[in-house]
Amino acid sequence: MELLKLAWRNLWRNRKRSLIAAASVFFGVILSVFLTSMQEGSFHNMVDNMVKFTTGYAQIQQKDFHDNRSINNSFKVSAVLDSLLNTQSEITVYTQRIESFALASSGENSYGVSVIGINPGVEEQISGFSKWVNQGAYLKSGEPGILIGESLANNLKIELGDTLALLGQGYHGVQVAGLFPVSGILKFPVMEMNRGIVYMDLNRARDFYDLPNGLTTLVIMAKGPEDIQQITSSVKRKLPEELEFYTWEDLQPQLVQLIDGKRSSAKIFKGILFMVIGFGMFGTVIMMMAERIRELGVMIAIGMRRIRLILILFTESLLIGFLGVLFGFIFSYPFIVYLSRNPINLTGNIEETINQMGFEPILEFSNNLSIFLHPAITIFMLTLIISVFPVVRIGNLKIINALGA
Amino acid sequence: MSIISIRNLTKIYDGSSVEVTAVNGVNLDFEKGEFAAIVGPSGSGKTTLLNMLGGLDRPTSGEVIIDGQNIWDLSSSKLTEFRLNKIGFVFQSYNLIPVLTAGENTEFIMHLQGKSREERNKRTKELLDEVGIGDRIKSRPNKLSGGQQQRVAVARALASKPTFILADEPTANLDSKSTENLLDIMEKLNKEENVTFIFSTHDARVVNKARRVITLVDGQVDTDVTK
Ligand SMILES: Nc1ncnc2c1ncn2[C@@H]1O[C@H](COP(=O)(O)OP(=O)(O)OP(=O)(O)O)[C@@H](O)[C@H]1O
Ligand SMILES: [Mg+2]
Repeated sequence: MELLKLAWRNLWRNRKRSLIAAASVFFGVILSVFLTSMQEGSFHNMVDNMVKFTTGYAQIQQKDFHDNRSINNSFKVSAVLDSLLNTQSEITVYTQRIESFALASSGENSYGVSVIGINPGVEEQISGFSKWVNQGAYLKSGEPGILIGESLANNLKIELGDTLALLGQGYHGVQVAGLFPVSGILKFPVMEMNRGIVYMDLNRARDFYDLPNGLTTLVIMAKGPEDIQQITSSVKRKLPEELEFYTWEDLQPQLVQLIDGKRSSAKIFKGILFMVIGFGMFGTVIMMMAERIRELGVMIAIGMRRIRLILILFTESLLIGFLGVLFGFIFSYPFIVYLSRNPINLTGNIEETINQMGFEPILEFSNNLSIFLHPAITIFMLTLIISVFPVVRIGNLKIINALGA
Repeated sequence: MSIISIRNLTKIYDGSSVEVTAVNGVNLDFEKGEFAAIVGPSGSGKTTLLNMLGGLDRPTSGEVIIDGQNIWDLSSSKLTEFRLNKIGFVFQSYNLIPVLTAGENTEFIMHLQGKSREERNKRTKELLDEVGIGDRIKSRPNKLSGGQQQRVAVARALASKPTFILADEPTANLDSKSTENLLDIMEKLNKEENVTFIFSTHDARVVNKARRVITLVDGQVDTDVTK
């Protein structure tokens, strides 16, 4: 009598109860799968948007630049590095930046600002940078114009077409200065960015800081955060010693923290969810045993080893869990796959708000395998834990008492 | 040489207030092929004696030696194996496994013994034919009458080819016709196949069929008569 057959028939004995127990697992799995898929999808979207506008998915810097953002800690892209990056299929694009500081003055007012030299074409391709230009035009390669934030323009009392003087420290500490026509005013959703950043063409920045062919930051883009590990492992150890590789997680610890926090609270919710399901399954197992205690006694009396009996009871709860998980997957998988390929476009007020923050107004879903794996493992673990009860109960069962039950 | 020797068997139950001596220093021997009834008033210790003999209830003192082995010296798992291979059980309330058919209930024991499928199928058919319900092989217990269920139970008890069969009041739940029928089957098996039966009973007709009648009073053997 194959274990499975006996277990299966025992489940059919009280169809309704087994069904209810399996259904609770089913709904738990579905809830967990959709919740996690949506959450991981939104993290994906959030990370993708954040890194596009700021650090990129990864960066290569001269190894001292992280602690001392001086123009002296710059480097040049060697032919070797260039070909290393070009051979990584996970890297969709990479671009060079110069990031440093300067004193911006106009008339009597001066403010310390961050100066960022970018490749206008590539940055536009990465993040659609030009959408932040509120007045005037976006940067063009080889042209002298600069972009400044709205608040900075107000503070300096300058307008489109006016000239801004920048005073900075170039390579080897040389004092550098230059006059730059303001060709565009930027309006970012984050106020601080409007106050203190000046963007210019990369080559203009090189001239200004006296850093021909140099850069401080090499920004690497990928399709998504899932590719970063691969890129890291193939690029990081091949870098020359004076360079350092950073992932977006190194560069954006606050974002990592935010995501971790949200993951933890979701875990608590899912923990409670599965605990409730676990208690339901536990109750079912207790009842399944209680009403069969005499039968279990008979089986031992006529010569069945207790361990086999325990195995049957374990198989019964395993089947309940398995059926719940299986149907949970069958039901949710097509939806998750569809949604992960066709994100929901948000509309109305939400769309506007998210657009203003510079994020894509979509609800993304993840179809990562772990979304399905985790609830399955959790249910399996629960089954194991619950089975401690039959182990103890059968182990201590007095045949005579059971027969008299 | 007897197949079963009971030596000084005693069972004392530690009741909450008083100790009850259910079986008190019983000595008995059984030979192969016996058809023995244990009788006695209610509370005289019949069930307790059979349970100790069947390896289900541990004696307070004394020995139960079956095929030369004191069964209460065995470890719990060895004892289970011993029950599986040497003892067939028939209970008062049939106690078939409700989710298994008559055939599967009979086969169950042989499955536990690890017998091959062919052997299991063959013997199951033979046994159910022998107890007269070969046509109900695919029926679940709840589709069978009490008498039919008890006949399946006898088939199940025989399936493992045990040294002897223990039956505690096997006919107590049966009407007189089923009782007669079951007794005929047991007698036939005993005579034709030399199966050893030890059963307890209150039923005079059952006592009449027995070739040996052991009477218990207050946990002690009062009379032991072989016809
Ligand atoms: N588990 C137990 N705990 C305490 N006392 C018990 C227990 N089982 C049986 N007894 C007592 O042991 C004595 C013998 O009981 P037993 O069941 O063996 O008698 P019996 O001859 O089978 O009776 P019956 O004909 O009613 O079945 C009785 O006094 C009974 O009350
Ligand atoms: Mg009794």
